[in-house]
Amino acid sequence: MKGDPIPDQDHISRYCSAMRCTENGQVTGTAFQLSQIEKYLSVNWLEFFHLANRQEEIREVRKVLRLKLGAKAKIAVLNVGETISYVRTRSPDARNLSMLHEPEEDDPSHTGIYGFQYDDRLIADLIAEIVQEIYPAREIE
Amino acid sequence: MTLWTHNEGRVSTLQDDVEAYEKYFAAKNLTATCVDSVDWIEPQTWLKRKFTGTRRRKSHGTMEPCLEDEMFFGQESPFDKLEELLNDDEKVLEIILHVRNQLNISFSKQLADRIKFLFDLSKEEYPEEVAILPESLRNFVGFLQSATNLRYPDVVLSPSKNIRAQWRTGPNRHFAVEFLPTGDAHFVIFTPDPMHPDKTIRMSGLASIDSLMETVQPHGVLTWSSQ
Repeated sequence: MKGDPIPDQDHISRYCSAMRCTENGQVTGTAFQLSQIEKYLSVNWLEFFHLANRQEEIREVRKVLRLKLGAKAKIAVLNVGETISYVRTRSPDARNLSMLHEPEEDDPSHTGIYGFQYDDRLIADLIAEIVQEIYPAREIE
Repeated sequence: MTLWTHNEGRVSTLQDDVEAYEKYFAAKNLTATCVDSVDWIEPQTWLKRKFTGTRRRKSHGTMEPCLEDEMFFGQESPFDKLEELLNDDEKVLEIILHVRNQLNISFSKQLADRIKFLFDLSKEEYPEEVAILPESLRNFVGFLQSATNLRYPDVVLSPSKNIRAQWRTGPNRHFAVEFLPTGDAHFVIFTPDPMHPDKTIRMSGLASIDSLMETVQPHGVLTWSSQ
């Protein structure tokens, strides 16, 4: 339901343009920076799909992302509880993030990361450090 | 020409702008109740407000441009902003050429290739927007020229199209700088605590690019970011 917190043990994914990744494909903090007009960071809740494994979940995310998927773009996967705890214990102001379900008509797994602003670059860099898995945004044929 | 207007949250074209202005102009001036003389300069304030998303009015009952807008924007042509958008990409390409051919640092060619890659990618993903903010790139290049002996950084683009350079060798050796068009730099540092090497100091701040190295050097960033 809209506004429900995502369970700590679940995972979210974030589309990361190659403009936000290093030359060797590592995701940087810019992938988790908000733009000035965004109120939260858009991600997808992977367990929402009720699929058998991560590969299938990522395939589903690729379908629902309405962005043009860049050839070198990535999809980064993070664990919800670990990300919240990592940021809280390492940020100078013990920042408390929350991840809330924000379903959309054509993207029912859509979720928002709340609790930081567009100029919170340190928080974005911390989130980038806790990325667990990285997948190509485009399926490899 | 398609433009993204932040506050209105939609994409519009130049043709849309012309038509929208015509409707607005007709509604305001071609009515029986119009008592003011026609303001032929008004398109520029209307268009400027549209680009910047400001729709402030003196009161709910008037569409007159407000004083603050006039003072802020001056007397530009309504199409200056469009020209700036078009020219910004050319400025970036010029800076890339300068980096490749004239910048006196060891990784100039590699850096020029990287910036060109980011430019092309940005153009591909957002064809109607400026690819990289030229002032941000100019400030980054100026910084590299003055702060010699830095290693080749990871260079990425921020959502605001600013250049962000990162020197990172581990979770506690992280120095990232976003070069703002204003001449300031927003930096993030993760560095070992000198008194407790198992702990990490994490800090961020804003400094002028001229005083950036002086500001961050005491935190040991050169131990992993210099050659």
